[in-house]
Amino acid sequence: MRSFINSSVFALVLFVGAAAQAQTPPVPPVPKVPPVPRTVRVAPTAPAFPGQRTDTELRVAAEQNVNLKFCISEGELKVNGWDRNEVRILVRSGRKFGIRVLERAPRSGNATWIWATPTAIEGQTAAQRGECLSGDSVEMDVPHGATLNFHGRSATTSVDSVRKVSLKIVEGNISLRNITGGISASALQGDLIVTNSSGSLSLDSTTGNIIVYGLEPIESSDLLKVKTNSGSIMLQRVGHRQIEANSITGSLQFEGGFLAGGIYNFKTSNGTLRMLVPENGNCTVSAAYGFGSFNAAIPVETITENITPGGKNVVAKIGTGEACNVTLTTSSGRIQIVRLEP
Amino acid sequence: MSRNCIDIGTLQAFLDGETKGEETILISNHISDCDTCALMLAEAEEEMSFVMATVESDVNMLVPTQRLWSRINDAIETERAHVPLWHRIYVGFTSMLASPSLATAAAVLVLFGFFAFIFLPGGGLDGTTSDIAAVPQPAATVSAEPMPTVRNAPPVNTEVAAAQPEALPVRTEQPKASPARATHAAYRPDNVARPPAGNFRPVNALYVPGEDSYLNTIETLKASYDSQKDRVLSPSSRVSFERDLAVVENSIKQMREVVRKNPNNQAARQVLYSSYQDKIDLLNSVGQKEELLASLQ
Repeated sequence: MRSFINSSVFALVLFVGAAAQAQTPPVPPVPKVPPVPRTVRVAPTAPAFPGQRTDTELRVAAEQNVNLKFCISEGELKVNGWDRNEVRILVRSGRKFGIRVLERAPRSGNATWIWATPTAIEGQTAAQRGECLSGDSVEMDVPHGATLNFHGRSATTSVDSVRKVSLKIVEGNISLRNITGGISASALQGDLIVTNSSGSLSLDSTTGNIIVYGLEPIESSDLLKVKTNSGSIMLQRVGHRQIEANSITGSLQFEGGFLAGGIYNFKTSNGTLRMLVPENGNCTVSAAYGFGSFNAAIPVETITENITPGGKNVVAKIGTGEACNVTLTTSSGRIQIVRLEP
Repeated sequence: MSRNCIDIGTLQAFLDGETKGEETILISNHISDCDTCALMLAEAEEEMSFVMATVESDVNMLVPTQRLWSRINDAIETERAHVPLWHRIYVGFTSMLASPSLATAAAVLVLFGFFAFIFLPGGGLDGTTSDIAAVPQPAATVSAEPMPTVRNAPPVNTEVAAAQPEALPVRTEQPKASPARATHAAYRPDNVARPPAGNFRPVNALYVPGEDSYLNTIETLKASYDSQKDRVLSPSSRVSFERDLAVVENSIKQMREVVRKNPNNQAARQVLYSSYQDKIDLLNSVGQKEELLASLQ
């Protein structure tokens, strides 16, 4: 009995100790930082202003190398180069606009930097006014040496005979001709056609086709970069020595000669790579393809060939193969080298 | 026979080896000088050998001699010297529990401790679980450094795949019914987007050099795309985009299979990297479109 009492007292002491330990305040939880609400940036639809659809024409004296920037929300845009030292802008059935001269030439006083933007109307806020031209059609005449820098929402665009163009259009076809100083064009939805132009070119379309015809580099290092997600690419008579062309699900066709010192890189995921080249060329072709095929209709000399299931690699020479390098890559598409008729 | 002849009992003990050291020497010296005792010893040996030949096994097993007892005692002492301390404590504790009163007291103590752990505030299971789950210990991230593509590269390092943190089933909330799992709880910050179901990387997947960097980039862009697609892409654009994405993912899947089977297939690797780049370009185009739309405000 005495030992039981002793043991009970000992148990009670341990119990009191355990209870004191259990009432120790717990570690406070670390406060969770509330997530910063994401800024939703949604482009509003083009505001309509009843009663404002008028024809507006403005002119301003400008240098040959004038730089013109603007934005167009909707309409058909035509830009033409002319010989005058003048910029003329005509908006048919659209919003009124103004021409802001941001910079002038010190000697002549002509504009060297112009911004075309809608004019303020009483009662409108800046957000309502916006920065984009709008109308049924927008026509511009600019000096040949002009540089255009614009972006737009929904516009069918045609630019002819200017020096340099940089544009981004959400929706609408783009046609660029006689651009002498280089192009940077991006069309999210719409075809992109570039003809008879020169300089370094970067052409990008998300869902449209890209057609390029008659390009020449200004310098030998000028790059031609063409990319589309689901459209097709056609390159015809291109004089650039550095070409990167990539279509993810579309086909790609190159027509013309491979130039000495050239580096050509063509890729497609499951489209066809079709090279129409003269058989008297002089280039090394490296073709890598997964589940597709490789077919050469002109005389080529196979240097190495590694054919394994799912991954094939063929290196072949056209002529001596010393002048240039062509890399062709496709996952499940076909690679064809076809003879180009002279 | 001399007067100092040894009695038969002592001789028998001498034969059995039960005499001590000095006694054994004295007996041996006496037997060497006394023919009578030597004769008695010889007769005793003869009798003993006859008896032992008959009942040898029974005698050896059932009638331990003095020497055997001493050996047993020595062995016991040796064993006691090598018994660990915890074993002695355990033996002592179990012997204490043999007492009914001590056993009852121990049972009461265990019951008190159990109920205190369950019902006292701050000491129960809930508090323990939530505290452990809320401690902001970042989940272990072990990622392989992107390796440059090298021709004739060695076979794929399987340790890279095994170290993918996303492959681990991370749980931030532990069920109350299984508090033991709280020790394995990992913390994932709220601002880290959890990849959707089905996009976890396989645990035993083999990654070719450089593939992991592609996957990380794609994962980031995918999270961005998921948050943008509804407001950036129109229905028709989205259909087209999803179709392109499916084509690219199919290419990646096919080429990964090929590369897994033959890691030295350079062509398959090249196509695989190209497909990954296509997917990155695709996902990136959505972000570019959102930027363009925002600039048109």
